[in-house]
Amino acid sequence: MRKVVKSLFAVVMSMSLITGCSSGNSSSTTNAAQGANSSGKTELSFYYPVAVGGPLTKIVDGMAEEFNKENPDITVKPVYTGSYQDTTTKVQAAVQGKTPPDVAVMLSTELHTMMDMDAILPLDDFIAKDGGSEYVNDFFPGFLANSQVDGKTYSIPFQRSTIVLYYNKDAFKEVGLDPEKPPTSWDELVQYAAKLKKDGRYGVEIPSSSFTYWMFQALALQNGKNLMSEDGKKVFFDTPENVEALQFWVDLSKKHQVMPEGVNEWATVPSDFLEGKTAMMFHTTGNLTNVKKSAKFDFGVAFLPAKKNYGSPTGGGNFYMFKGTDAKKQEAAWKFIRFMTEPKRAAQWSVDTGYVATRKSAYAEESMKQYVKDFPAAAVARDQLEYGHAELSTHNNGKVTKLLNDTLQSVITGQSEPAEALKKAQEEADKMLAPFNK
Amino acid sequence: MAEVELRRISKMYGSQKVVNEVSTRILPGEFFVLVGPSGCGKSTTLRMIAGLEEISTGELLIGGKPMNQVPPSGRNISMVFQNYALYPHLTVKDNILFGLQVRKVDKAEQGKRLERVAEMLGIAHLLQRKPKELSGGQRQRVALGRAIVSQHPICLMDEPLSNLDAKLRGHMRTEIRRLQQELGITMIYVTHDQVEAMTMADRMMVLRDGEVQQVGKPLDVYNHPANLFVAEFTGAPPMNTVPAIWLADQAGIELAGQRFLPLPMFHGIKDQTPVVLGLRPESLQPALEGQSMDASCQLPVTVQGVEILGSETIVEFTVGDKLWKAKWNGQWHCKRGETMHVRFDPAQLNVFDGETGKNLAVTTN
Amino acid sequence: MGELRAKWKVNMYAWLLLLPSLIFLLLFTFYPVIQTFILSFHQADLGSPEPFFNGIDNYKQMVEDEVFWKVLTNNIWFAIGTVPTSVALALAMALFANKAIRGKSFIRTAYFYPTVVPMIAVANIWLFIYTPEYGALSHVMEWFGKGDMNWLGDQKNVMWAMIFMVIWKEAGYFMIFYLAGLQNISQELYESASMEGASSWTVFRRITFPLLMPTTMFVSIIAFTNSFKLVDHLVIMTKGGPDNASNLLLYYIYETAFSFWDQGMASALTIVMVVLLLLVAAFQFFGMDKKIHYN
Repeated sequence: MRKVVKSLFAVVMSMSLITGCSSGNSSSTTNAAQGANSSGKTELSFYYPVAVGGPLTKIVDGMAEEFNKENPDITVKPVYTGSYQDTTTKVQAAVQGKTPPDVAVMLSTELHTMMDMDAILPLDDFIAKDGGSEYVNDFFPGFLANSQVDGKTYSIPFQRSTIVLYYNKDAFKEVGLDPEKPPTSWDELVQYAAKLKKDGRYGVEIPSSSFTYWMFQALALQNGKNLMSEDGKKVFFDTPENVEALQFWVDLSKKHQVMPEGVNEWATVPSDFLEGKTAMMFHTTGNLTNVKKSAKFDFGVAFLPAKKNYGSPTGGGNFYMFKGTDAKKQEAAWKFIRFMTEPKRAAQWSVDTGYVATRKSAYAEESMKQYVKDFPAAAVARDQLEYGHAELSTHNNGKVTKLLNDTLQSVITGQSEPAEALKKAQEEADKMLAPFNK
Repeated sequence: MAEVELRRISKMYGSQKVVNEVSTRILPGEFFVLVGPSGCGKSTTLRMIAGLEEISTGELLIGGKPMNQVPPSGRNISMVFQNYALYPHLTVKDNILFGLQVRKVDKAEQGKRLERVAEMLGIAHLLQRKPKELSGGQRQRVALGRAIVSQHPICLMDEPLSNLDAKLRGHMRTEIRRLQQELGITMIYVTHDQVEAMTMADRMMVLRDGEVQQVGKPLDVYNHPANLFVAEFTGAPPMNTVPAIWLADQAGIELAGQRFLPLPMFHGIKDQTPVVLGLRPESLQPALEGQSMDASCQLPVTVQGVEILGSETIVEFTVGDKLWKAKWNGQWHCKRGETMHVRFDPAQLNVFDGETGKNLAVTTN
Repeated sequence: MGELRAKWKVNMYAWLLLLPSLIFLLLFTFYPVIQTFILSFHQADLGSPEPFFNGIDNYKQMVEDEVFWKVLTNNIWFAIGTVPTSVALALAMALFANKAIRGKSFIRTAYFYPTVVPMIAVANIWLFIYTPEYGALSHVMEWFGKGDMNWLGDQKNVMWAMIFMVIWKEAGYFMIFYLAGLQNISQELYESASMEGASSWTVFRRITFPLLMPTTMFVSIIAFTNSFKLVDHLVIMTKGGPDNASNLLLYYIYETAFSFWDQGMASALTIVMVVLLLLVAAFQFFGMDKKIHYN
């Protein structure tokens, strides 16, 4: 008899363990789902990543709090979700679990992927109801390019960046170059770099890990055209212009020997610049604040040098809203997006983080004027936006991007030739995109 | 050749002395037993002879040659360990031959020796087995075989029988003794069991706290223990003892303030010296009616307990404030509380110094 | 009859005790494996809104996928590079740490320390070491008058750099198992061998090494599976680059699943990996086990 009691006890223990877990789960999900209808207060979940250094979570939390104060009937709960990649993964999991977040910041390039998953809402209805296109048109076109397909807008630019040229003014002076005249063309870039090169210092560095395709895109844009069609269904990797662009990149190290050979680590390039190991670098504006704080020398920021024209792709994260949430919450989420992108907030966000302010009107804000005045480099990024274009984003984006990255690295490390490699990449990308061109 | 000599050998661990100036000479072909309670230093002494422990001070000679600096393998000795130290992954055959293989003994010679040893120990059928497939007794034999096969003239054994049950232990005692005699090896054998020492040894050394208590033939040690410790360590049950006072002018002893026993004269002992009397249990016999005996060699006792073991009977009674045991042949149906007389031969009485515990009759050591 | 009932009772009791872990095992191991297996026969990528059955298409595509073969070869080299060396090094370190008279605990701690550091932190440390121009290794090479090397940015070097780092990271962990194994070998065996005059090499070859075989076996399996499981460093250091030169199977699965969003292919790749690991484990257990002595 005692044995039976004992074994029953064991079973009950194990059961309670299991139910303990599952009930914990279910209660948390129901909480989220019920958020809307309890006591008329709308609860919003907001996923956001952090991709640059600094106390960004604090700033985001502060902004959400401000919003909650202004809108007592809405409570936004910001959820920090790691890197961009992690955030996408979490959003994807939430979408599949039928509990999408109400609003999230993800890479602008996730557009086609999210559409293919049928996960995101077009925002045109909200825009129309809320003052119409005036709001949207205030954003820089280079930023907005990754938001729109077939005339519909799917995301709102938020934390955006672009590539600029950083250069060491002290080094320029040292070799007799005018520190106020950075290179404006590819030829000048090579000339200057050759002059700046000495033992222990390279002329220029273009990072070739992580965002290899992005850097290549800059060169391609300067030589004429973007790498993909606007609808993300076609890519143009192997055009003669792009082969030339890639050849130029390779030549910087192989032929002119003004750049280190092999792959230059994304995160190492800014350190090289700050250490004086390279006199110039291509890098994201996301590093402005970091370089400003850490540089022990006078540095300048300039447009990326031109071939046929200036050109630089944009990058960074946009606000997205998701299908499958109820209408009331969608209204609230839209309100939140509007709040976060108000000119004065966009200006403040830019000042606090170093991201480029996404709206033209933000630059009319007093805080922004002051910032640009104290730190003219911030204006360079804005002015270059005139030549800003959409970041590489296609259907099957992950695969296509990796393909291009691998191809570029293979060429940069001397394993293959530009023309041949890009041709092969083009063929494979066509295959990857075939299902979307039916 | 196979003589082992210890000259004032000591072992220190830091400031602690665990073996203190042990000296002795072990003769070729002798079965020499180191015996004592645990912690007495007997194993350490053996390990110093083997070369497994460094000798702190003193000198070790084997075959007349100093051995202090010679590694174990150069000392011409084999050793059987307490837990046999069989290599668990090797077969019995490889275990036995391990040493010969290491020494690169000729293959044919190896085979010959293996065969002989296996036959001698009756383990020929076990050669292909692994140790875990053997019983305790079989493992013991393999360990012995490994020692024998080396044909070293000296063999050391460290409590080799302690893992066996009582019956098997008795059996192995005789077997080891037989092998030692057959092969003519010098055996140095460590045990805490005085029965093993008594039954196997040619000579034994009793150790306590790193000090030698007595060295001698088992019977000499038994009959004339050098001190109280040896007296109480040997024999089962051990020697009965009781404090008493030496009366010089009467050449006798006062026991517990009452008894007076005439004793042979001990010279040079002062009157009124406290002493301890010791008598082996078998030295106390019932004083039967009709047997005329000197009354002074009789003790009136009251029986406290009786154990009848079949072939012998143990009778318990108090003498002074000590419980004594007497061992009588046959079956004696005494009753608790019964009073009777026990007698003894004064020649078998041992008298120890009350302070130092030394046997006043034994002069050696 | 009564006996049968008693037996049933005993069995039921056993099953009841096993139940909790069994449920977790089913829920979190077998069920996902089966689901993955099923999904591997489906097309489930961004191009197909609803997954549909496509037979062995995923596996066919995989065979034609150059990157798959590359990561698989990489992984095999990675295993060949890390497993024997880290195991041998662990054994050597354990023997040394076990013998050391002075500073025993310091030596153990020093050896074990890399294991305690999370892989992410290790990757960051080594990222610095491998940085060209001003990384620690660069400085060392400068002293020797050698030219600078781009360890992570060159296809020929990157795998060696990874292998070296992982050996550094893992050997200390395996050493702990060997230390435990050494403690289990009775001192008497060594004393017995020393009585016979066996050299330390003979003692190692004939006693220590065979008696440590169970440990070696266990550690080898762990090391081998680790060589397939450890990919954290790729996230930090190379993202599998340059051009997949340092990419490994598991990271490729991760990329396929969470960057390409090709669930079907990711499932197929996962199945390949599971089968591969099972085969190796089976070979090691059933093939080598017979030659090993267990206490």
